Amino acid sequence: MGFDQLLGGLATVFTPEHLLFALIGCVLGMLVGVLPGFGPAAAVSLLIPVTFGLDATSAIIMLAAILYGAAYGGTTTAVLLRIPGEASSIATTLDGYQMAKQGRGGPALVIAALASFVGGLIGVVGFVVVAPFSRLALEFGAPELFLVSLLGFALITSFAGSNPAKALLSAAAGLAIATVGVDSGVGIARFTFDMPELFDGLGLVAIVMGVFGLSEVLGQAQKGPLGVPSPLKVARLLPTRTDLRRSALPSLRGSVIGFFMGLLPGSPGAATSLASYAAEKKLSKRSKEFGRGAVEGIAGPESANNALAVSSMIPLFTLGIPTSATVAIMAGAFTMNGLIPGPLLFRDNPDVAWAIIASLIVGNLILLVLNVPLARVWIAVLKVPFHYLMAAILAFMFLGTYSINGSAFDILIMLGAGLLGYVFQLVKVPLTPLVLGLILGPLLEENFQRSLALSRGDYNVFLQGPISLTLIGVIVLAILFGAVRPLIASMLKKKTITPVASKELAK
Amino acid sequence: MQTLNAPVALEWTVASAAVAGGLAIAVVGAGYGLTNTSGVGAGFFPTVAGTLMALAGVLWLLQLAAARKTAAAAPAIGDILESVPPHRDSGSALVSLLDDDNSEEPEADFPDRQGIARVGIIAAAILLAALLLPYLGYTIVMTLMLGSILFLVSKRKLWLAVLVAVGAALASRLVFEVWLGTALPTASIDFLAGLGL
Repeated sequence: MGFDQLLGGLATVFTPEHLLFALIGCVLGMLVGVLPGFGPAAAVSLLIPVTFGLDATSAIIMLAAILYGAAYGGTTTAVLLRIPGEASSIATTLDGYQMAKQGRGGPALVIAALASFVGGLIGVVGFVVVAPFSRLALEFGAPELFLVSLLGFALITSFAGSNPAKALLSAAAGLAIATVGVDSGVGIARFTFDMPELFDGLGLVAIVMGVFGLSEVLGQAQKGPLGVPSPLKVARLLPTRTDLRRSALPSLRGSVIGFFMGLLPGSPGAATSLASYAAEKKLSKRSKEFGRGAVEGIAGPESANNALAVSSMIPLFTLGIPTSATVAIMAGAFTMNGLIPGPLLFRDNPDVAWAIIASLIVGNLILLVLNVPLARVWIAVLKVPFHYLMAAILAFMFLGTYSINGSAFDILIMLGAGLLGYVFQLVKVPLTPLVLGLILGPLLEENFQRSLALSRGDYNVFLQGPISLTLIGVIVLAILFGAVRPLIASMLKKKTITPVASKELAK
Repeated sequence: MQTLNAPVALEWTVASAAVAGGLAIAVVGAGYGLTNTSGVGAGFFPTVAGTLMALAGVLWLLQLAAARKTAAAAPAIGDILESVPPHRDSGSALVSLLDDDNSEEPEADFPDRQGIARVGIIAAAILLAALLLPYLGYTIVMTLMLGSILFLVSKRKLWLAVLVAVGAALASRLVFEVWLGTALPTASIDFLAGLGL
C-alpha cells in the first residue's frame, strides 16, 4: 500500500507555503462556488490563471483546493438560500434548506462539512489502496493506451448528457478542435489558415474558460438582473449528539457509493448524490422525515459527492484518462505545469503525486474549519448586485486568458468557445464530452499512429493479447449500454410519472 | 416573449450546422492525407472527427423529425407530461443514476429578444476589446469594455458605469502588474502611450 508515501506527501504539504496556497485556493474556490451556476469545473477553469507563476506542486495543490472549495461553496448556498451552487448540491437543498428553515442552518452546514470530510477521507484511503495498481498501466503499450483512451471516450459519450447523439456531437467537436495545429506525426499544418497563432493548436485553458466560464456568464446575463432570496439564519452552530449519530452511517454509505461511482467515467455528481439520497431514504426508519429536514438527507449526498470528487481523479492518476469535466481541466493544469498525468507521474514525480493526494485531505480539513465561519461572508457576496459580480468575472476572465501567452488571440478563442458553449447549453448539448474530446483527442491520435507505425500498418495490433481484447469488449458494452440507457431510464421514469399524469388528465 | 418554436428552430439550425460543418471538416481533413508509409496520415483523425460530427448531426435531425411527428399526433398528452414537474427525488437510486435530467451540465433558459441583445452586447464588447487591445492598451480597453457592459447590459447610470469601469481597470492593472508581475499591454498610439496608458 502507499500509506508511507501518503505520510511523505502530508509532510510535503505541511509547509507554510503549501498550506497558504491551499488556504487561498479553498477561499477562492468557495467564493466562486457560491455563485449560482458556478460549480467546480467553472471555478477551476476561471481560477487557473491565479496559479500561473507558481511551481507545479503549489499550483496543483491550489487548484485541488479550489475544486474542493467550490464544492463546499455550493453546499452553503444550497442550505441557506436553496440555491445549489452546482448540480451535485441539488440533493442537499431538499433537507438542508428545511433544516435551515427550522432554525438549524448551523447544524446542517456542520453535518454537510463533516460528511464531506468523511467522504473525502474515505476517497483518499481508497485512492491509496488503488494507486499501486498504476504500475500495471506502465506495462501498457501504444495499442493498449489507444484502447484505454477509446474506452474513456466511449464511456463519456455513452453516459453524458441528455442523449447519445448530442453527446457524440459534443465529443466529435472536441476531437475536431484538438486536430487544429501542426500534426505531430508528419508535421502538416491542419486547419491553421496560415495563421501562426494556430500552429500550436487552440489553447486548452482559453477553451475551457470559454466553455465553462464565459458560457455561464452569458447564460446568467441573458436573464437580466437577478434577485437573491433572503438567506436563512445560521443560528446555533453545533449539531446535537442525535444529529451526529444519525448522520454517521449515511456518511459512510454515501462515501462508498460516491467512491465507486467516481471510478466510472462520466458518472455525474448530481446523479450520484441523488442516488445516495434515494438509498438513505429507502434504508431510513424515518423516511417520512426526508424532505422535511432529515440530517441523513444531507450526510449521505454530501459524503457521496466528496468521495466521488476524489475517486474520479483515480483514472487520471493511474491511466492518465480524465473522466469528468473537472478532472479534464485538472489534467490540463497538470500538463501546463509540465506534469504528465498517469502512471508515469508516480514513477517520475512520486513526491508531487503523493503531495497532491495528501493535499486532498488537507484541503478538506481546511474547509471543515472554514465552512461555517465564512458562510455569512459568502451570503454577503451574493448580496452584491449581479451586474458588478458579472463585470468583475468578465474582467478577470479577460485578463486571465490574456496572461496565458500574453496574446489577445487567446481572448478571441475564449470568446468563440464561450459562444459555442452557450449555444450548446441552449440546445442541451452536454459540454463535458467536448472538453474530454479535446484532451483525449491527442492521446488517441498519438497512440493510434504509434501503434500502426510499430506494426507497419497492421490493424491486427489492436486485437492482440488479452488486455486489448478485454478493452474492446468493454468498449462495445459501453456503447451498447449508452444506446439503451435512455430507454431504460424513460421506462423507469414512466412508472413514476404516469400515475401523476393520469391524475392531471383526470382533472 | 419568444415564440414557442424558437428553441426547436435553434436545434434544427445547430443540428444542420453540425452536419455541414462535420462534412466540411471531413473533406478538408481528407485532403491532408488519410494514409502514409508508416500507417495513418495527418488527415485521418480530422476525417474521423468530421464524420462523427456529421453522423451525430444526422441522428439529431432524425430525432427532431420524429419528435415533430409525435408532437403533431398527440399534443395534449405531450403538454401534460411536459408540465409534470421533474422528479428530482425519484425514490430510486437506480433511476437517479440513469436519469438524463440529472446531467451535471448546466441548462440555460431560452432567451427572449432582450436576453439575446444582452448576450450580443457582451460578446461584441469582448470581441472589440480583444481586437483593440494592441492599439489602445489595457487600461482604455478594459474601461470601455466594462463601461459599455455596465451601461448597456446592466442599465447602470452612465457616470456610475464609467466610475466602476475606471476603478476596476486601474485596480486590476495594479494587482496584475505590481502584485503578480504580469506586464499588461500599453497603447501603441504614441499620444496614449505618452500618457502611460
